[in-house]
Amino acid sequence: MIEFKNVYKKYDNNENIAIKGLNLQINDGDFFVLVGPSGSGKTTTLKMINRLIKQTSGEILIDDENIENLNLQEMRLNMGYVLQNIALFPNMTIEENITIQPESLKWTKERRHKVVMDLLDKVGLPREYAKRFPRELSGGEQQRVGIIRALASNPKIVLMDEPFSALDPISRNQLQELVLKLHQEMKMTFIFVTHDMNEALRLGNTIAIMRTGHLEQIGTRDEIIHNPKNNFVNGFFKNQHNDDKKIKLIVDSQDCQQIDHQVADLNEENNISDLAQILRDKKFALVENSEGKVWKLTIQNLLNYLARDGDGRE
Amino acid sequence: MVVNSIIHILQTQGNDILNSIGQHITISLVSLLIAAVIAIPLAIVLMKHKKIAEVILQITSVLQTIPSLALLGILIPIVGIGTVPSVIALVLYAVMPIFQNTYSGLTTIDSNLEEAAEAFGLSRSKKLVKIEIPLAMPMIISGLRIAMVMIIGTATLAALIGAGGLGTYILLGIETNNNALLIIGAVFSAILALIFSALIKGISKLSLKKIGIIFMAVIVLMGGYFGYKTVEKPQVSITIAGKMGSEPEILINMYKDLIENDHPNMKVSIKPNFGGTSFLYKALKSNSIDIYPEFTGTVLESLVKTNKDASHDPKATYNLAKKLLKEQENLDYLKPMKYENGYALVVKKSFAKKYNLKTVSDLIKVENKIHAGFDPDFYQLKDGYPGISKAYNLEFASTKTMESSIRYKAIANNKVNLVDGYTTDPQIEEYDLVALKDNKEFFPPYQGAPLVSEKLITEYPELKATLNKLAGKISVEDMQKMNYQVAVKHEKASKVAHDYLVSHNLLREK
Repeated sequence: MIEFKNVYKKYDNNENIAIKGLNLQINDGDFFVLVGPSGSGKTTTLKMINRLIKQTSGEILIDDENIENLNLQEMRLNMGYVLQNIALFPNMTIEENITIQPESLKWTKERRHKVVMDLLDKVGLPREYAKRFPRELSGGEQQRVGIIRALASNPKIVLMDEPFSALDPISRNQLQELVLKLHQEMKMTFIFVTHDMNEALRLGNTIAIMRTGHLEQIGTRDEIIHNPKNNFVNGFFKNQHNDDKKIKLIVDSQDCQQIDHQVADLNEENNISDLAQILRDKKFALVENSEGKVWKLTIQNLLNYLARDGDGRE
Repeated sequence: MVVNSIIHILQTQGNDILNSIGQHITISLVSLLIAAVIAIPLAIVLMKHKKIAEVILQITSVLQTIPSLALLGILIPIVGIGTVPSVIALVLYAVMPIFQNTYSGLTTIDSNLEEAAEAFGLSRSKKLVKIEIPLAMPMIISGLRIAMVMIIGTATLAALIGAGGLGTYILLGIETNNNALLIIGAVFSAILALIFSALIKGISKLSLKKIGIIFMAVIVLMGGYFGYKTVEKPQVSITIAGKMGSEPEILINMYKDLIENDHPNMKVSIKPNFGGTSFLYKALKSNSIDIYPEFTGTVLESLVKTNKDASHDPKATYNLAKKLLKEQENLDYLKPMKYENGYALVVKKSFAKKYNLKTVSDLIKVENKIHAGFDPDFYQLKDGYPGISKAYNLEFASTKTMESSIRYKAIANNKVNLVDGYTTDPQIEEYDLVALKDNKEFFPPYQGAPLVSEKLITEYPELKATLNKLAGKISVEDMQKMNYQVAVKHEKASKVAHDYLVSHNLLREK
C-alpha cells in the first residue's frame, strides 16, 4: 500500500504551491488513475512516489515504510516506470531495453531472455523484435516495449506518466486494452496519470481527480460518474454523459469535412455514443443531416469535441 | 620539374622521410591519447557541475589562442627541447575540442532518457557506461577527430624544436623556397590526417568494450615503444643543433664528424632544422643543447645587450660578440670560420660582365638601368637599402619589395636585374648570379662560429681545439657550393660535410 500523508510540494522558482496537503491511499493491486488538467499536480504526485521529485513536507509510505528510509536505487529497481515520451534507449536493442532493470538486479542471461520472449508474446510483438533497435519500430510498437520494460523485473508497483498521450487514437485504444489485460494478468499496482477523462474512466478502478495541487474527488468509476462532488468534477466529466448529446453538436462546433454522394452511417440526430461505437472499428463515420448533406467525422473530431467540452470549464 | 625533384627526393631521402612520418605519427598519437585521457574523464566529472565546466572551457579556449611558436618558446626553458615540449604543446591544444565535445555530448542527452535511467534505478556508473557515454559517443568521436586533424597539422611545428616529423620538410621547404620539399611534407601530413580521421571514425562504430581494448592496446604499445627507446637509446653526451636550412646542417655535421673523430668516447646527436634563433638560444642557455653555430652579426643584433653601433670590421665584431656573450650569459664563442654570410647585392653574371661590375661602387655607372627587387626587411632596415644607397650614393631606376623566397626567381626570370641576398645563398650558384663586393664594408659582418655552453667547455676543454679546427676555414665559394649541393641537388648534408673535411685534410678518410 502506498500512502501520502499531508504532502506538500513547492518549487523553488515558482510562487504557486504545486501540491497542497495531499492525503491519499493506493491499495495493492489497484489500477489507480490520477486525472486532471495540466498544472493540477498529477505528474508531480506520481514522480514523488519514485522520488524523481522530492516533496517539500509530509510523508510518503510504501507498505508503512517511509520511502526516504528506503535505499533509493533498490526501491527504483523494483518499480516499473513508463514515460510519456516512451524514452527507449536508442543505443540499445529492444531486448537490452527491456532487461535494463533485470540486468541491474543481476538476473542470469537465460532468465532475462525468457522474460523478454514471454513479454513480447504477451503484448503481441514478434519475438524477432528483440534484436532490433527502437528506431526500427513504430510509435505504438515502441510504447508496447516501453510498457513491458516497466514490467520486466516483475515489480509490485508500476508508474505510468501519460503513456499514451503522444500516440494516435488507434494505437492508444489498443494499448489501453493491453494495459487492462496486463493488469488483470499480472496483479501489480498500476498508477496511471492522464489528462484524458475517457482514458481515466476506461482504465481506472480508483480514480483521483486533481485540480491545482489538491484532490478534488477520489472514488470508483461509478461513484464519480453518478455522484460528482462539485461543478469542477461534473464539468470535467460532462463529456462522459454523452447519452443525450446529439452528433449535431460536433458538426456544428467545428469544421467537418463535407462529402457528396455517399451513403451515411448515421444521422446527426443520433447520439454521440453511437458515433463513438462506430469509430472504435472504423477510421471515420459518415453523418447526414435532414437536408441530405453528408459529413465525414473522424476520431479526431470526436476528441476535439470532448476535449473542448470537458477540459474543466464550469 | 617539381615532380622530378619530388621523385628525386623520395628516392634519395626515402628512409629519412619514413622516419619523419614515424616521428609525426608517434608525436600525434601520444598527444591525442594524453589529451583524451585528460579531457574525457574531466568532462565526465564536470558534467554535473556546469559552472566549473564553463570555467574549464574558458581556460582551454584561452590556451587555444596562444600562438604555437610562443608556447614552444615558453616551454623550452622549462622542459627543454625535442618530443616532450612538442607533446605538451599539442596536448594543450587538443584538450579543448575533446573536452568541449565530450561535455556537450554528455549534457545534451535527451532529458527523458536521463529521467528513464534515473527512474529505473541505474547506478551512476551503469548509467554512464550503458547510456550516457554511448549516446555522447558521436560527439566524443567528432571531438577526437577535430583534435587529431589539428594535432597532425600543428605537429609540423615540432620540427622547430628538434622533435622531427614532417614539419622538417614543410619548414625547410618554406625557408628555402623548395616546393618539392614543401609538397612532400604537406601531402604526407594531409594523408596522415585523412587516415587517422577515418580510423577514428571506424573505431567509433565498435562497442565501448572493444574501444577500451584498442585504447589499452595502443597505450601498452606506446609504453613499450618508449620504454624500448629509453633503454635502447645510447648515452648521448653532446647535442648539437642548427637553424633551419642547409648551411647550419652542413656545419653541425662537420662539428659532429670532428668531435667523434677526435674523441671516440663521445657520442654526438645532431638536431638540424631547429626553429628560429631565439629557440636555439633559449635551448642553449637551458642546456638542452650544447653547441650551435651562430653569426657574429646576429649575436650583437639580437642576443646580447649592447649600446655600441655595429662595427663594420669583422674582427672587432667577433671580439665584441665573444666578450659580451661571456659577460652576460657565460657562453663561450669559439673562433669564427672564414666566410661571411652577410647581406649582398646580387646581379646576374652576364649583367656583371656586360657592364664590368665587380663591386657595389661600380653600380654607379649603371644606376639608371637598375630595377631592384628587395626583401621587405632589407628595404627598410638601416643596415639595408636605405643605408647602402646613402653610403654608395646610389639611386636605382626602380625598386620593388618582394618576399625573400621569390626574389631569386624574379631575377632569374629577368623581372628585376638586382636583388639583395646572402653571400652564401645556393641560389647564387643555381641561377648563375654573382654577389658584388661590398668594397666600402658597409654591411655588418656575419661570420659563423660555434656558440658553446660554458658547462660543456669546462667539462671537456679539449673540445675547444677540435672545434677551432674550422677557424678561418671555408670560403664563401666553398659554402655556396656546399649549400648548392644540399639545398638544390638534395645531397645528404652529412656526406657533403664529410667530403669537405676529408678534402681539406681536417679529417682522415675512414
